[in-house]
Amino acid sequence: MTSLSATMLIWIAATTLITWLWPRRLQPYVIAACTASFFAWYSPLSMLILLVSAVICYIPVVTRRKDWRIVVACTGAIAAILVWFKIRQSTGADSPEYAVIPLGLSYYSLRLVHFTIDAWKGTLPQSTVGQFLCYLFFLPTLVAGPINRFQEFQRSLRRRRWDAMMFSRGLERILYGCAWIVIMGNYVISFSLNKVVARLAVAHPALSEYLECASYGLNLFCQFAGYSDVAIGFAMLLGFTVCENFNYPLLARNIGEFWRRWHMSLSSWCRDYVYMPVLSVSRLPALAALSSMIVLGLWHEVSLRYLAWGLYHGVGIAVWQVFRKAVGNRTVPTGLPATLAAGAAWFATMNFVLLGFAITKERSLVDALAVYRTIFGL
Amino acid sequence: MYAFLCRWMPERMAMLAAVFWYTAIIVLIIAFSAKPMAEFRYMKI
Repeated sequence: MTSLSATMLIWIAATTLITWLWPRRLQPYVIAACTASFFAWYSPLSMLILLVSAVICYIPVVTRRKDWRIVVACTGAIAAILVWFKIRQSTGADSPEYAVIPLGLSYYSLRLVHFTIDAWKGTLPQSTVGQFLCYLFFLPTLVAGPINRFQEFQRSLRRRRWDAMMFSRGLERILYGCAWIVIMGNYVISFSLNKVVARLAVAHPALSEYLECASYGLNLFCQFAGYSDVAIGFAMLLGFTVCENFNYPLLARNIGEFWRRWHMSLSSWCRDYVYMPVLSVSRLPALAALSSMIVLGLWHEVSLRYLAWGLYHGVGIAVWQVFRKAVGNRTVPTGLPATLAAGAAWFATMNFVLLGFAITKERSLVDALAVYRTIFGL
Repeated sequence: MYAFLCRWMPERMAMLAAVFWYTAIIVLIIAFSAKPMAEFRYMKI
């Protein structure tokens, strides 16, 4: 496991122990204080940026004005901080000091945008500064998601109490998360499968490149699903229920379904804050899908390859929407058994997704094109 | 896991099986932690 993960496990144990020792009404503040001290100790810059962003985001709530210009200015400022660090990261990738961006910045920026827009729309329940700070300084989800919403956090905050069963399920979830990361991600896929792929490289270059894309995608799934399990389990130890991030994405039978199952907290954020606004203005589902997938791609990294990856999936979803409209309610092609059609749909979706990872796996678009040339023998 | 096992076997046996299951996972995690690690980019964004 990475040093950060080992550090995180220690903080999980310490935060859980310290939190339950305090009276119930003070516990959320204790969690926030533990998170703040973790950030101040691990990455003071992240702490500073998080505080500045929190102040910016809370302006529309304090002013209580339904002025769209304030909301645009606040979300613009948060987006500017995020984009600035992302550009700095992608342009200075070879220099370690530039390559690292503040811890959890990508995740809490999206939370802040959600809070600001929902406060402006009036869909946010009445809240206090303390609740807002607890939401933002919530260690389980701060570092690598899920991107939980304030409404569900506040509901959980009100209902939480000591529950031995929940605590036990939380411990189990953390254990399974670590198993996904260490056994499946690091050993079975990164170590063992990659050894097989390397052996095939000379005799079967196309198969080797294809398996490399598959291995990259599977490793990403195991690692990220594992970290999400640890985060959800950690939240359960503290008595909170956090949204799920994955729902068997490798069983998806179309690209739209895949994105409803993979990194669900991010894709639902894109649906609510990019897809729906673009759709309501343009009335063009394809344009809305393209816009949200581009934002989703650039959120990972501001670079050409992630722009291309976003476009790749955006076009995929747009084509799927057109196909679904053309086919209508006829879900099974005539003369073909339903199971066979479902199998073919699953096979096509998985290949589309796994081949798409060639774009992000390689360092540049030229290298990604070379991978496609090798696979398809062009 | 314990609740799941209780459906299929006596309570005492389920307890033993659950303890064995968790111990095996912990041992595997510790054993495989020493192997080379993959880079996980989601912790860096």
